[in-house]
Amino acid sequence: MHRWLIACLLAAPLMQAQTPCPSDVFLDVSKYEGAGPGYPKPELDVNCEGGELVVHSNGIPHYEFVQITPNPLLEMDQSFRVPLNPKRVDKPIPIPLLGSAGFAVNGLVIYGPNEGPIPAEENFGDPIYNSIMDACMGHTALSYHYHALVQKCLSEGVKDGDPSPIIGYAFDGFPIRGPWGCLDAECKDVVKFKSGWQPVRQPHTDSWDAYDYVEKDDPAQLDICNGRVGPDGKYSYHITRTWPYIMGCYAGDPVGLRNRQERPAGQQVSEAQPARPPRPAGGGRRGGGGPPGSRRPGPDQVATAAAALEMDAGKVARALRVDPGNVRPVNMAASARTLGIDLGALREALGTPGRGGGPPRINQNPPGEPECFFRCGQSDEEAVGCGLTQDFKVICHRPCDNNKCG
Amino acid sequence: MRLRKVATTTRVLILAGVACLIVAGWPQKPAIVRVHPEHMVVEVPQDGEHPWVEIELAHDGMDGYNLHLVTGNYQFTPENIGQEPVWNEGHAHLYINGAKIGRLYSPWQHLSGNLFEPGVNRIHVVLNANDHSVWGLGGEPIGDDVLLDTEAKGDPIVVGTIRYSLTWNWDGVEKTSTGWKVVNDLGYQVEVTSGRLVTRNLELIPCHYKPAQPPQVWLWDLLKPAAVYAGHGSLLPNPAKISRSYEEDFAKLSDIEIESRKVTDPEYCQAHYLIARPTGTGPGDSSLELSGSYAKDGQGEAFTIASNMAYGELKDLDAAVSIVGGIDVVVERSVAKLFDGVDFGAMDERARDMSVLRALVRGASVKVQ
Repeated sequence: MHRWLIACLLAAPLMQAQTPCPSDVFLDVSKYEGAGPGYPKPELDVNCEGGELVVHSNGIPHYEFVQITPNPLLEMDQSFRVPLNPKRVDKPIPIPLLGSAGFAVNGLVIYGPNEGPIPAEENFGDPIYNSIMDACMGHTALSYHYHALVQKCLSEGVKDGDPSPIIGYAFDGFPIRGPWGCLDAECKDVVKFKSGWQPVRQPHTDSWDAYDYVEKDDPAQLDICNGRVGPDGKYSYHITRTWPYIMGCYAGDPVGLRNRQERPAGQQVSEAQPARPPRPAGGGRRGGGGPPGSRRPGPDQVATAAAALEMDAGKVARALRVDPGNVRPVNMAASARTLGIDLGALREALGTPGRGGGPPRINQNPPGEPECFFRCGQSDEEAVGCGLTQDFKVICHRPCDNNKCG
Repeated sequence: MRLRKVATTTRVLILAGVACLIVAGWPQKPAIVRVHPEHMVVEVPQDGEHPWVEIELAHDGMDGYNLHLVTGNYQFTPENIGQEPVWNEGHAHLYINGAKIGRLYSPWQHLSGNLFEPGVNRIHVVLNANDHSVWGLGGEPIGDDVLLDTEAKGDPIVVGTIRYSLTWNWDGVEKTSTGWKVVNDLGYQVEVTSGRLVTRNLELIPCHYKPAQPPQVWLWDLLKPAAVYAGHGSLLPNPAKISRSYEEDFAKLSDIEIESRKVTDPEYCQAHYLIARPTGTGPGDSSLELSGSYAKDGQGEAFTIASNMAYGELKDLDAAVSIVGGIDVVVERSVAKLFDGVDFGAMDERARDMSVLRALVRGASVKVQ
């Protein structure tokens, strides 16, 4: 009896380490035609080591590439590592406002449900609503990436109404499945899952502010992260027809965010030049450095900012999306718009105005030059006499004289 | 005699080698171009808060010009030169007319007038890490590139105008009182009576900075076709982009001048043309609508296309085109080829719609003058 108990205790860690490697859920991209003539063939390598799922990809789609954005399709050198046994965290963690948040089963990266600041008239808008995605909900910007997923593009022979397969992984290691799933262990009841995020305004810009999560007693409705615990007790995200399409937040610790490498193929990386150059000490980027969780202004910062701005701390926290229960990623520009103040003023109030954690940079005029000779329309909100408007246009605070801030 | 035979064999081998080099070296698509061969391009984080730089120039009261580098997410750190690269710090390298002038350790630099030729000069700046690697984003060096006109009295930076037009080629098309008729490559006679098309994006893409030709030129360099130095950092605005969507009526197609844009990028190498739903509309709106009828072998039927799909293409220009004097861009679409490849009797609606979109965009030619 004791011998069996000891054997079981000894075997337990081994059994955990032998979690099946889900390499079979990934596509064999070599059997597809790829992006088209002239582009490299898609490449994907999947294996498991050290309790992690390890994925290498060249970032080339396995289907015809359609040039939706004016950015070329680049062959990439991408690798991702996520835990094979992800654990849920107590509080959901925001996904990145920009950049990769996971990867699909063809090895291509998944971004969040908002676009970047460009084009200015659609800054941080919903790219699906704004019609800048191809038929598989991908497009190029640096690398080819998805803002939503289409099950048919990432699986074969799956009918509508069948329980959906895994079509991707979030950086917390939890799988992303198609829209259909079982409500019961016997899978008698298969439903198409729905997002709980409801539109509150047009998502043309600042799409995170255009949807609110509304809790409903509906077994087909997903949680705030767009996932659910299945009848097998395992957590999965599900893609939805509506916002946030893939993930609304991370239900687990996104360790894959820290383990990813994405760079154009062919770029040599030596020991002296790491793939991702070290960030400045103290994470002194605009808006803070480090992973998304650590970039969120803390309560002390919010209180200090509220005092400096002579505003209610709750209002500032809501605008910054750091109020309790808010899973939206921080977007300083959107927050400044919500508060009706200049972006620079908000950053200064938060104590994150400059780079390297140091004092804010002030553009010094050269001796003998007029106080400001920046051209109107210049895009530096810190330029003397110039400011960034809420729609990312640069204005002169002073009258514009001969196309210069007069 | 023997020597002659060897020479012939050698000639054959050389020709075969040349053929192999041409085949191997022929770029099907614009490749990533290494523009600063003396320094490696190192990627900055691709999360939106990357460094950027823009050139400002002003006449100096005594001589030449004052150069100001307006930067974002970047700090000049000459004190850290030779040390490990840190993604938002370093210095810059300055090139004038292709020649490297030197390093810039601060955002301000006086440029003596004797650095410039009379007339138009090209100024290029690239951001460099502490170890002199070039900072890059998506494989493209982070820098700025402008033309300076020594004859200009005011702002010396050359501002060019890009004028965009959308036109139609009517060759092989029969106009009717209600629209137009065409016979496609599969023998279908198609009559269009109504519809609309939305041009969602049209923009010229600036060329990369092209370095001066290295002094040592290899045989295979001469054999290669001229490389197209183009690219576009998606996180940076392109002032050459049209500012809104344009809708055209398929029953009354006509040529239209759509927009002009003021730009400072010295030259352009590619054009992007995109058909998609209009800006600011919901997913239910359409990018392409067409109604009419088709007939083949005496059998005919009405058809309607209402697609919300997007389709675009990045087209290489024949050669780099300079902004000096302005650029006229004409996108000519072929009416006759619109339905080529469409098998009305066999295709499902989605395949048919995509085929029309593909034919429209791929059949479009971009002419620049």
